[in-house]
Amino acid sequence: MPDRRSPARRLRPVLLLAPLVVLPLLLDSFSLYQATMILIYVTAIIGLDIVFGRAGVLSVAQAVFIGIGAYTAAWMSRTTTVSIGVELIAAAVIAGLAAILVGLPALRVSGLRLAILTFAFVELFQWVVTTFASITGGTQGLLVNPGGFGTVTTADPLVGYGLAAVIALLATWLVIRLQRNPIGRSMAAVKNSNLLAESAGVSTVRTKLTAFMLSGMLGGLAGVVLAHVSGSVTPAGFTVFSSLNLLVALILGGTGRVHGAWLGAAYVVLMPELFARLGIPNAYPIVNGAVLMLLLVVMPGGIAGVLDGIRDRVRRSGAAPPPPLTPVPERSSS
Amino acid sequence: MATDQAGRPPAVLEVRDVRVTVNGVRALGGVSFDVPEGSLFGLIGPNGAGKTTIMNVISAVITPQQGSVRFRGEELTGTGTVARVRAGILRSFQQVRLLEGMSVLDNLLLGRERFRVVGLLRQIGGSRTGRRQARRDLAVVEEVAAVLGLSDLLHRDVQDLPFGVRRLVDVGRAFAAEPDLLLLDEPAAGLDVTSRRLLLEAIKRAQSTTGATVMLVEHDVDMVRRACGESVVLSNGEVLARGTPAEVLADPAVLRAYFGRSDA
Repeated sequence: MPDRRSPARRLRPVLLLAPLVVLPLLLDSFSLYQATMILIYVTAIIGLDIVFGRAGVLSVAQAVFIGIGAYTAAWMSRTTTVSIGVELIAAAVIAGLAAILVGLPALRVSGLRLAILTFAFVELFQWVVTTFASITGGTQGLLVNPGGFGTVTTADPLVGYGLAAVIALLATWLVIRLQRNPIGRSMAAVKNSNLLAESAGVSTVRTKLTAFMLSGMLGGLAGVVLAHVSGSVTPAGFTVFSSLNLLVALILGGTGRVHGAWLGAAYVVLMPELFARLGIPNAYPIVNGAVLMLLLVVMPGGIAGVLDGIRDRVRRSGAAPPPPLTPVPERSSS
Repeated sequence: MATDQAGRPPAVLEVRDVRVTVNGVRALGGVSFDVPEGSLFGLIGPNGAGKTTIMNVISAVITPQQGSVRFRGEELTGTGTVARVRAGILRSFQQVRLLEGMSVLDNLLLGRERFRVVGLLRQIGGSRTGRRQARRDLAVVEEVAAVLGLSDLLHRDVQDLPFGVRRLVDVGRAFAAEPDLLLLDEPAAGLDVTSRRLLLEAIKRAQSTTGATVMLVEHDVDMVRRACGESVVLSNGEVLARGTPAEVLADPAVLRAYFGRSDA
């Protein structure tokens, strides 16, 4: 089938991907590490966006899924010789199944009560990790052996960056596919109200559990890359504060928007560094809190919402306003 | 179409002795009526008569304390909302409920959800069955949009649309589901006279095109008189009268319930 898109639209993916390819060649090692962290955050935040931004289910358990992915990778890297691809598959499956378990209460409760229930899962994860120290390393955590494909391993920061980029792009592709797909519409209906969803024939049970499962799988994938890039995993990296940080990033970036996760990830990784470079690292939490409050009140759509608003205004500037109800002309039967 | 001994089409929906009490207050006190197949059936009554309650019972939003609802001869008691939608019973709400921030097309396509059979991985990755279903969904939605006069607005965000058009999209989503029985709960509420007339024309056109049985719940007697072939009047949770709009509106009990007198 011929590609009917305009040349500009056809070029758009290339223009968006080009910086991802060129960037690592221009960055020093610390900046490359930061770029990798942004990409890991992108994957994790897109996962959170699927469950919160698109299905409207408030969860603070995203750190658990990242933790499951990270510990799966750490344990497999130390006890097996499988490639990182196997670690990714195992982490996605385990975290996906765990997410379905976390999602089960969502079938009964919602809102703040559900958020508290998901918080209980974060605490349970912390308890498991610190209690079964022979497997998890307890509070000390585990060192992660470099993984990869044959001789190409994550010991090379470029490989870690490449892996993070591929997975972030995969997560982005997934959420774009969901957007205009029956699953995405089902999630939007569930977010609107259970009544609307069920009255359209949408199974709210299946939709919510699907959202949790996809969210968990992406969290798990992010966790594998995080473990290999960091070289170690400790329970301190997967607390409720880690989840809240992801939630803040998502809200700042813009929920329910593909680029919201990218903007939010860049914000939470780069802003602390910016304040550190300015010599006022302690000011970051205060400014961050103020920015969050301001955004929630003035720009509930986040940074992406503001950008989309500008784009929509430009598009609408020459367009005719939508008409009211008008008579429909008789159609000739053919 | 098959008819019964009296020459009427068979009942697609049979409501029998439905009783509902909410917080100790009787909402429905033994309501029974039949909805003939392929008809545009009116359910009228003043505010608080129990119209929305009976809709909620038929669509399984609430469970009655007593009574039964049969659809095409099958007992529905015990089945949930989604099962009834998949069986072909669709509904709209008094309050317009749309997927905000999404296009008219997306909103109409939501109506096709009851036909979804393709699993998660195939939905995301794409499959021949999924693509065939998507083509069929699009064709039905475009046809419904054409009948309702929404073709030029398919790619508009529903948030940008005037209230009357949003109502039409809400109704369109239900028709896009190719319903066997469509329950419309005061679809013209909040519209001006012209918009009400246009919406009613659109509903009648869509009903005759799809062949769906439509139960129109209204307190606007004039709208039901112009649209419906047969009607039931509810008052205080009970059936007050049934028959053609002309017959029920000549019924002294109906006149008393509506106008407080029997000679209006």
